[in-house]
Amino acid sequence: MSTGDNPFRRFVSDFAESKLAVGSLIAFTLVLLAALLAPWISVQNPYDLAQIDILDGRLRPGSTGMNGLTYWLGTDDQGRDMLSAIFYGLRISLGVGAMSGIIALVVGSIVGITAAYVGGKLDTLLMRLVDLILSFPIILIALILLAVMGRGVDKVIFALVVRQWAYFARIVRGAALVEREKEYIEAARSLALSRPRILFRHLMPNCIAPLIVVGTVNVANAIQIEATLSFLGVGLPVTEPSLGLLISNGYEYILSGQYWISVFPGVALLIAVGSLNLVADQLRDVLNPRLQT
Amino acid sequence: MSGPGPTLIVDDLRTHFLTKAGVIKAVDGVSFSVAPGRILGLVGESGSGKSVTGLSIMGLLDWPGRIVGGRIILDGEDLVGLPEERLRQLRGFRVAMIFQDSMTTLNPVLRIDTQIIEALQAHRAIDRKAALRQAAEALKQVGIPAVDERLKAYPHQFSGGMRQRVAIAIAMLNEPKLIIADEPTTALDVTIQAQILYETQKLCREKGTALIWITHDLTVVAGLADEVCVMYAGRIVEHGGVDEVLDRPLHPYTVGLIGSVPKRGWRGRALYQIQGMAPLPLNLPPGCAFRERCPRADEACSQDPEVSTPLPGRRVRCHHPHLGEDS
Repeated sequence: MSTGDNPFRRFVSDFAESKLAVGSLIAFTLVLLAALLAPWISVQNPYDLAQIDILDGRLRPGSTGMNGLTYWLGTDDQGRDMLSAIFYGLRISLGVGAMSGIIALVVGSIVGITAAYVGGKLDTLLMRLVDLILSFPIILIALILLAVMGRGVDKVIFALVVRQWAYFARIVRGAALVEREKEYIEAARSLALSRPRILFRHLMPNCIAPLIVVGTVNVANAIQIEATLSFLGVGLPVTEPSLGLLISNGYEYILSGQYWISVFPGVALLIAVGSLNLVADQLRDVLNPRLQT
Repeated sequence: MSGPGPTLIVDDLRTHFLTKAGVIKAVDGVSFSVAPGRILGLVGESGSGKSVTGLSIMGLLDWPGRIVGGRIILDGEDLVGLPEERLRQLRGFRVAMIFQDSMTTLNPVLRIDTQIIEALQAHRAIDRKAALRQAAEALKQVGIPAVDERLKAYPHQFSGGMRQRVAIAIAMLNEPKLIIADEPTTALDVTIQAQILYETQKLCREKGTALIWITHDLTVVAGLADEVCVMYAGRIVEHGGVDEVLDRPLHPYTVGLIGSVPKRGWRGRALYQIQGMAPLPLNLPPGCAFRERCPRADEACSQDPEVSTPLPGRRVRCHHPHLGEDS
């Protein structure tokens, strides 16, 4: 009889085996903190037009503005403090990424697990729908939807969910098809547990491992796509610049040597997406069922 | 048969799988009965239809499997054609099942107490505390030590034998009339297997539960069952008391099965092998399904053999049973 060690502790020590992953996790935590604490650590609210001064426009990093503030990363063409704008931009980017990721995960999981468990025609129907949706590039779907619906955080999230749920549905179905054949599901059926109970309490938790990995990658993806959409000018309103919009604002000045308006938000985006991807990578290794006992 | 009537009567059960390639007659006219507190061994090779028989009784056949004929009478109620709602009331309550693979038979992400309480609450209104007490009682019964601690554990903290005990405890929870055990000890080592066989036997006798033990292992049946049915290609080819069948097999297939079990003092000698492989029960030609592999087959075997009763309490489906001269 093995008492077995704490699975959570084992998970943590497995994860910590890669220094790069730990570093990425730390970097991502910092990014997350910056986003969460943006209103308290920023020197100004970049969305409050009363606080920004057009005369401070395009100042170099480290210069002092009219109001005595030091702009460590310079200002953009509107006179916004870049550092504050990046904090607030991260807030929007991470928020959009997380929200669209969670909604897509919930919708996709329910669809995928139902398809796998019920099987037959319903399975075929749902999975062909998934194939259809995934055959369109996400940027195309999002552009069309946003062109119709207009700008806004909720609309960007909706546009992302419309395609990303299909990803989760496919992954969950694959995992659930494997789990469904295991005897504990048959045992649950032989005990006459109700179908929703078998689906969500027995089947679902056993399909979580691949979901965590795909979910993390997906959040990183969503952040990137939101930035792309904002860069193209269809994502978020100009008054609430996210990272993509900040990059696009500075784009016209980059050739005249005023690099900071584009580069710093770009670096922030890189750190956020890159660290999240590296964390996901390590999660995939740790949660790989073939490496588990 | 003495005492009360049988718990389960299976009468001419036919379970077919309607596939694109044709009809697979996985169970083709199987009849047997089990009395309370008695143990029936269902023996056969892989693909002989023994597991499908079990699943048919549970009403857990997967598509495209279907019961196309016969009756399954549990406690006076015919299960064939019952609405799913009624079947669900019986499942896990009047009839329970224990599965083969002890490693996957419990849900790896739920604690043992959760899984036991869930099984209890599926069939009656019982509050958590009372359910927990009953769960502890159930684990004690199957010989699990330090019950309170064990209840809070996850399946991966149990050994294979322990898990199978938990599975048996869950099957016994609602004191069903009938338990179907589908090779539950196959994956366990022999000492654990012996313990579990002994304890299951004891529990069934005490509680008057009828038990169907599905296995391919004749030695298990020898030590456990009262009666044995030998299945081949979806049919019962021989049926009788366990000692009689093992001591004096009538069907050539049973003779072959017994001959292929290694015995003491036979070292260095070749074991008996049944020639060929069990046929796929897909579009079987008429006649005895065993005739291709049977040393006693002749022209008569291209006709379906009828069930005969050459000895009291014995049924055999063969034209040339081993009678007298060479058993």
